[in-house]
Amino acid sequence: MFSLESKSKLDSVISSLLVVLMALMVINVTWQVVSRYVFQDPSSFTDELARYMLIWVGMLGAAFVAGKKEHLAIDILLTSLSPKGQLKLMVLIDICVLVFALTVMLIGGSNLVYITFILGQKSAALQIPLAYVYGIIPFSGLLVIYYQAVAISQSFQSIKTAE
Amino acid sequence: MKKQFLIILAIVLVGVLPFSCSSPLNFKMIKMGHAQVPSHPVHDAMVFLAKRVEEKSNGKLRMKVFPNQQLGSERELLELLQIGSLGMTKVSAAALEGFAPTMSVFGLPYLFRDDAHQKKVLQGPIGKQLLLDGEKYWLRGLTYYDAGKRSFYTKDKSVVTPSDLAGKKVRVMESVTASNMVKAMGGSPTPVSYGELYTALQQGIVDAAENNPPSLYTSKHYEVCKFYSLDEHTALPDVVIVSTKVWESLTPQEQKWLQEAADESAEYQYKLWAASTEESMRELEKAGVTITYPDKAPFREAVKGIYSQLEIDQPEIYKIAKAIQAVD
Repeated sequence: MFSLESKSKLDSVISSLLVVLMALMVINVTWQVVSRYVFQDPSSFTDELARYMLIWVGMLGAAFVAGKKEHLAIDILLTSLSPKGQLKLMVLIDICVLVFALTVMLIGGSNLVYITFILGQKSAALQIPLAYVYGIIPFSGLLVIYYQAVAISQSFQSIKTAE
Repeated sequence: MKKQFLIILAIVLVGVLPFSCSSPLNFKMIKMGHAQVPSHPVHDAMVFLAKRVEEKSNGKLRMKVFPNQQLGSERELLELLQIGSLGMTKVSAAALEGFAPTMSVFGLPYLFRDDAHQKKVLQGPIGKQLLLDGEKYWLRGLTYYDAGKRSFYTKDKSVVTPSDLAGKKVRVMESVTASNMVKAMGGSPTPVSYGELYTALQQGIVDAAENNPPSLYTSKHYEVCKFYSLDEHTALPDVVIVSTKVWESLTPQEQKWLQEAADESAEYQYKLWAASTEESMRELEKAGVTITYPDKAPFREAVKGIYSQLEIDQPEIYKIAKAIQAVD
């Protein structure tokens, strides 16, 4: 489950999902411009839809990039360590990220989704329950946790082989 | 050795930090956030509310007011209230539509006959019931503040009859009721966020917008829109709300203090609002804005369809609207 193969399978699923979302966003925004300037009858839902899709792309993309280890980082400490020290530091960093994703994104996010779901908050233009929009937060948290777990198990294996 | 000591010291200091703020207090503090600037009459009213609560409770119950969207926009503030991170807020009834559906009744055009009718409804049983309806959504309404009446302002010419809106792109709030109203009057509703409206008007993305006099004045939209036509189509009140989590944590005596202080602040706010409206109108006139008072009858006529459509789509809201109009 935490092997590199299953990770790359998940990667391809998420990246295609991101591509589809991005494409829908472009169509949506284009329609907004066309309806406003060509048909002179501005669509009322496109603005909101674009906003929610941007949130989805942002949150999903953050999880995807966490898996690729391409998030912005200051590596001044990391580069000054020995190779073995680097591995140990990476484990520590990954654990910190995992704890954050668990407490803030998964637990906190689930709580937010639960509250908005039972209280039935609706969006202004689309009239969809906002709980669906917020659902991306715990989902993305779950993905980040998985990616960190993979990274941690990889680091441990490298430490073992180095020994 | 020395290094180890420093590390331990650092850990101890960080560990102690959370406790340093929670020394036992002999008073309860309620945080209140809102989205207006401190020069807005609503802010004065809330500072007044905080003062009255403290006086009534002899300092046992205190409030701190955070203006300027410091704690978030109106929608975010409402979510913070539901989560329980924030105690109180003041939002427009329009922002509440997505949270407590019955509040959308106030977005209906020409719901009230006049100011006296509006005040009577809001302070009467229907108004009280709508405030308490929010409890189901963990948002308990305390009182209403006056937010005036909204009218159209345009770039090129005054709106005398609804036909003057034909083909015009009119900025509306993100609310279905507001969109339907503009459509019924013949304009094309365009949702634009309030912060982007000035540039949108300047660049011609929209040709017109609608708001109450103090907002038109403080937003400086009058620099672009030189025609203000007081058709007074909607009268959306502001609502002061307390999180039910905070409300239930108060003793009955404290609840009474808070409710009384809120009612007193509403009285005070009505006076502040009237003065602010008068001043804004004077300043608008000084700035060269053409102010007209169109006949409201054709506008009322144009939006009749909204009510018959409401009867089919949302019979519950329609029932409340009918009850409001039956109040004399």
